Amino acid sequence: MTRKAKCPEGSLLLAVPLDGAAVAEALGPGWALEADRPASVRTLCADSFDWRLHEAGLHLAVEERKGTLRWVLSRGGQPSLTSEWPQNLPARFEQLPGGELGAAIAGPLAPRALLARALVDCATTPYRLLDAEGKLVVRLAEEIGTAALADGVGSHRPLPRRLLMEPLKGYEVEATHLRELLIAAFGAVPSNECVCDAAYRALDLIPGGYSPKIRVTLAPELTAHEAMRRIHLEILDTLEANVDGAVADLDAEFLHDLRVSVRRSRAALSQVKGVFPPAAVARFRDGFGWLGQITGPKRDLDVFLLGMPDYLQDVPEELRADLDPFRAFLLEEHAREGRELAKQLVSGDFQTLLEDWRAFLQAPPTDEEDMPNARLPVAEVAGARIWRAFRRVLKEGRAIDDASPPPQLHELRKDCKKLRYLLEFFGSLYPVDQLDALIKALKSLLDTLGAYQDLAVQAHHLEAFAEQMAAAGKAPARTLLALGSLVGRLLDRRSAERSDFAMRFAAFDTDANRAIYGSLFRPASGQPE
Amino acid sequence: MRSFALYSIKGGVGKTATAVNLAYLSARAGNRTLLWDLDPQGASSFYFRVRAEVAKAKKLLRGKRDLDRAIKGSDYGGLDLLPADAAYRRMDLLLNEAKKPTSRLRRLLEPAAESYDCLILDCPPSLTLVSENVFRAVDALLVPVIPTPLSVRTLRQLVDFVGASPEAGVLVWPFFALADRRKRLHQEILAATPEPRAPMLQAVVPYHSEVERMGVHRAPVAAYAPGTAAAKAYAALWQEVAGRLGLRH
Repeated sequence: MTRKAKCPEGSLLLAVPLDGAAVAEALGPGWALEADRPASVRTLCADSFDWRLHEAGLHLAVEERKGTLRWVLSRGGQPSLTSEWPQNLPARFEQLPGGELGAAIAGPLAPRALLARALVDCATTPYRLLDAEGKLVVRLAEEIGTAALADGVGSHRPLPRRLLMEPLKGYEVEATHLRELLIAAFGAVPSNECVCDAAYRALDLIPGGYSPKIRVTLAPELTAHEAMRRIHLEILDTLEANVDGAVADLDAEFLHDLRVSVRRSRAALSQVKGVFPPAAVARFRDGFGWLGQITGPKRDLDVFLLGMPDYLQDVPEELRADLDPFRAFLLEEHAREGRELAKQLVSGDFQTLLEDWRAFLQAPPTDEEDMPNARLPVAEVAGARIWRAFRRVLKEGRAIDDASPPPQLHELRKDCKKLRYLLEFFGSLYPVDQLDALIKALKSLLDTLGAYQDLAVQAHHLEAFAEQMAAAGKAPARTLLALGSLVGRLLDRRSAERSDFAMRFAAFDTDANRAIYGSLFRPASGQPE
Repeated sequence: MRSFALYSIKGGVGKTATAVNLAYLSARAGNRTLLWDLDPQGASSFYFRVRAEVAKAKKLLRGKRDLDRAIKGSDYGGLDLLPADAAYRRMDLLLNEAKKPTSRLRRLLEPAAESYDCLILDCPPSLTLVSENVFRAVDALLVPVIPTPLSVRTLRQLVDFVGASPEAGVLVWPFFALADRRKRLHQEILAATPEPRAPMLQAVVPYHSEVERMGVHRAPVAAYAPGTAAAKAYAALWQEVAGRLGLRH
C-alpha cells in the first residue's frame, strides 16, 4: 500500500541524546515522552548512475528493518511517498515498484537502473509523545548512524544525531509546540537535509558528479597538444566510469555512454591531426576501432529491445502474439552477446589498451617534427577544424537530392557526427548561447539521418535474425510472416525519414546558421564558403 | 468506500464496544478506516483517548468546517476518528437547517471516500432525523440485539421504519450481542429466527466482563486481549461484515 507520510517541518539535529523525562517535564503536567525498544535500520540511498533523481529534486531511500524493505521518496528534503516493495538494490528499471511512488520516479529515471550510492546504518529509538489522556499525539524517532560508500569501500563516517517527528493526524499543533520547545530549550537545530544528502556530504560524494557531456574548460591560448590531452583524458574518465555497469549490464545506458566515449576518442584522434606522434595515433585509433567493433553487436540488440514496444505499435494487433518467439530469440541472443562482451571488457587486451592510453596521455610531451599543430594555440586549430568540417557537411548535404543512394546519406551522417564532436570538444572556447544554437540545429539534422540509417540497419538485422531462427528450427511460419510485416513497417518509416531529409537539411543550411559558423570559426585567411 | 452504522433504537446494547472493535479490526486488516462518533456522550472517543469536541459540530454540519480538519489519528495505524461533540445533542435541529435535511450526512461524507476504504458510524439510540440521515449515508445498519423479547421488539420497529423509506436503500444486518448462554431465555431466542425480514448474522457476541474493562484500558479489547471470547466474537463478526461489504479481513 502506498500512503502519504506527513512530516511538514523537516527533522531536528541534536547535539546530545534526547532526554524523554526532561522534555516531558518542560512540556508541563500530564505529558509523557516514552521510549520504545531501539531498532537498527539499514538505508540505501538510491539514484541512477548519472544522478537522474537528484537532478529532478528527488531523493529515494530504501530502508531495511527486520527484513522488510520500505521505499521512501522525498521531495525537497520531505518524505512524500512510501511503499513497501521487496526489490533490493541495484534494481533494473523494470523492477521498480508500481503505484504512486513508482510513477513518480519512472519519468525522470527511464530507462536507467537504480543503484545504491551510499549506505547508512542507523540505530533508531522510537519515542511516543502522550497527552494527559494517555493519547499518542506525535511519533518521534531518534537516529544516530554512520554512512559508507555503497560498495563498502572506505571507512564509515559518522552522521549528525537526528530527530524525526511524525504528528498524528489532527495533532499538528502539539507537534509544533514540541518542536519549538526542543529548539528553544534543548539546543535542537532545524534541518531540511534528508538522510541521503547528509550521507553524501559526510562521504564527500558529489551528487551530479557524473555527466557524459564533455565539460573541460579550455583557455584559447592553451597549446593544441595540451588541450587535446585534457579532452582525451576526460573522455577516458567517462569511458572507464561506464565499464563496470556495462559488464553487469544493469541498463543499456552504460554501454551507450561507453561507446560514445569510444567514438569521441576516435573522432578526436582522426579529426585533430598533428598534435600527437602519428605512430601513437595509429595504434590507439586501431585500439578504439577494435573497441567499437566488440561493443557493436550487444548495442544493436539493446536498441532492438528498447525499441520493441514502439515497433509493436506498427504491427497489426492480431500479429503481435506471433512475435513472442522472436522476442524470446532476441533475449537469448542479447544474453549471449552480453556474456561475450563482458568477457572482452575484463580481458587483458582491454585493460592494456586503457592503461597504455592513459599512460600516453599523462606522459610529458615529446618534441617531434611530425606534430606541426602541437604548439599552436588551441583556438586556432579548433576554429580551422570546425570550419572545414562544417564546409564538408554543407557540400555533401547540398549534393544530395531525391535520387541520391543511401551510402551518400550515411557519409553525410558520419561527417555531421564529426562536426558535432568537434563542437563539443571545443565548446568552452565559444559563447554558450551561439554554440547551443549550432548544436541544436545540427542535432535535428542528425536525428533524421540517424533514424534513416538505424531503420535500415534494423530491417537488415531483422531479416538476418529471421534466417537464423529458421535455420535453428525456432521460427513458426506465423512468426516469419509477422517479422516480414515488421520489416515492411520499418522500411515505410525509413521512407518517411528520407522524404523529411530535404526539409531538415534546409533548416540547417540557413543564412543565420551559416553566419554564426562564419563569425565563430572562419580563419582570417580562409576562403569564403 | 464501504460504510456501515452501529445502530439501535434501544440504548445499552453494546453499539459502541462493537464499533470500536470493528474499527480496530478493519484498520488492522489494511482498510483505511474512519470511525465517526455521533453519540454526544462520546464513548467511542473516550475509548480511543480522544477528547470530545465542544460545539465545532455546528460549523461542520453546515459545511463551513472542513471534514478533514476535524479528523484525529488514533494510536493505531490506518484508523482515524471523527470525535464526538457536545453539540450532537441538538443534531436534529442542526440538520433541519440544511437544504435537504435527510441527505446532509451523506453529502458531508462524500469527500472522505477518497481517503478511506471503510467508514463506521457509531450512532446514538433514536429514531429521528439523525436516523434518516444515517440510513442514506451508509450501505448497512449493523444492529446489536440482546436475546430478550424487548430487544427483538425494537428490531421489528426498526425494520418497519426502514421498510417505510425504501428510497434510502440501506440493508439491516442484526446480530446477537451481550448474549448469556447460561440464561434459558437467551438460549431460546438465540435458537429462533426473531425477525424473518432481517435474518441474524452468524456471529454472536457474548456477554463478557472483559468488554466492560475496555473503559479501564481505554483500548479495543481486540487490541489488548485478543485471545478472549469477546475478542474472538468481534473477529468473527468482522469476517462476516467485511465479507459482505467486500473489505479486507
